[in-house]
Amino acid sequence: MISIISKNKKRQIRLWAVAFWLLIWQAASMAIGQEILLVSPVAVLQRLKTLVWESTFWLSCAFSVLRIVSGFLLGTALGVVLGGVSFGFCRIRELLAPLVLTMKSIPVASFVILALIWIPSKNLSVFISFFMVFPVVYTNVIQGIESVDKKLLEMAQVFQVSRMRKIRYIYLSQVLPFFRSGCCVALGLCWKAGVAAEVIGIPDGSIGEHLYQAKVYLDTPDLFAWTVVIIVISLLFEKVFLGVIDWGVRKLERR
Amino acid sequence: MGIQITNLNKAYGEHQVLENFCAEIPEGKTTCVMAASGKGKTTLLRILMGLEKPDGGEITGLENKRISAVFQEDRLCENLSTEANIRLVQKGGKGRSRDFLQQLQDGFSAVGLEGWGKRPVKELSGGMKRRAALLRALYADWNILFLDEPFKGLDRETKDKVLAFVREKCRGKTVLCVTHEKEEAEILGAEILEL
Repeated sequence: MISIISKNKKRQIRLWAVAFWLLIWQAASMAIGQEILLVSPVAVLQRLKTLVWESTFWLSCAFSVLRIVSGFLLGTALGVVLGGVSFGFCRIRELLAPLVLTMKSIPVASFVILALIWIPSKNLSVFISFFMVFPVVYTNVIQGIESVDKKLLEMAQVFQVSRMRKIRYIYLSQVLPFFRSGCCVALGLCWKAGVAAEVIGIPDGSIGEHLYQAKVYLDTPDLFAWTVVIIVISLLFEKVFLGVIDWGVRKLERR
Repeated sequence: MGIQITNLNKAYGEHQVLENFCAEIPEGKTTCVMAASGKGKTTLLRILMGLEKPDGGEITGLENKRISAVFQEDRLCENLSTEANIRLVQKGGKGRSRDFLQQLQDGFSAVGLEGWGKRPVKELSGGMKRRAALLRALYADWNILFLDEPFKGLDRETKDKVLAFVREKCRGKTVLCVTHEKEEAEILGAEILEL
């Protein structure tokens, strides 16, 4: 696991690369010369500076974060539990297989519209976020359990290692890298799909509502500013969540 | 009473590995199984450990016995420390007791692994991993010990040190060791069983 963590660290985004793309963006915006078509990063920053002093900004962030993160956590928890159960009981796995495949294949937009019939728009992002996360985590957990070294399991059988120790020291350490990479993918998906659901459902006081209004009024600085906010929030959440997983792994390895 | 093996048969497809194999592994002694490669030494050990089912035959003397083993591969949890790998196979809280940890330190010194107990197994060399696997087997709670080429990959000097330690730890106990080296059997004071 440590090797996986360090590989991820090597892949971290470099400041110089960000600066390079910001410069390209600024140059392109200046070349076009129309803020409505391509707003400059400076204008976005200025808009953000005014936004952060508004209480609605923080309330909207809290509204969306609460729902999308809830959906993510629900999807993750259920993916882990059902992944473990499905590995133990092949009938449950067979039963869930068509459902998971359907969840993976349905386009988000069509499911959002369908879900709007059943669920109030206020909670739509919870459901859609869950819907994106569950199949990814579920599949990765099953793959992780399947990849557990059979030779280690034989060793545990010969030494009569208890079930709890087997789960903690053999299964967990081999499933965690799969779980982690599943979470990485799911984190990106849940923010994209969650905000898309808000844009379609337009619940009051959500980030999605602000994006929708920016689109209606052709308020490009606002559109870009809220997009930056979404990126920052999702990156922060990803850092915190994966940090917690890595901390858990380190604790496990230090045993 | 030792382990009685009667008319043991095992085939993989068309390939008959063991055919009407009979033997007695004496209790309280070390027995070395010797044969050319592919003659079923590891298969015999796997059957005795309960990891393979024989096609026929009978084995007695393994009932209610606690087994320990060094496998052909090291089979260590790479992310755990060497010490944690050894503690993993201990029953209950024994692995945490002060006495046990002290004994373990002596074991680490005896096989030339002092200072490596807290390091993750993945940082160990091949020979060090072999010694860690040996320590795990020797420090488990066992009545019968199966060793499958336990000294492979060790240099001359280390092998002598480890052999002396194994001989000491296995004195008066039932051990079945697979090896290609007659010299190892002699140092261990073992009876030789040809397959």
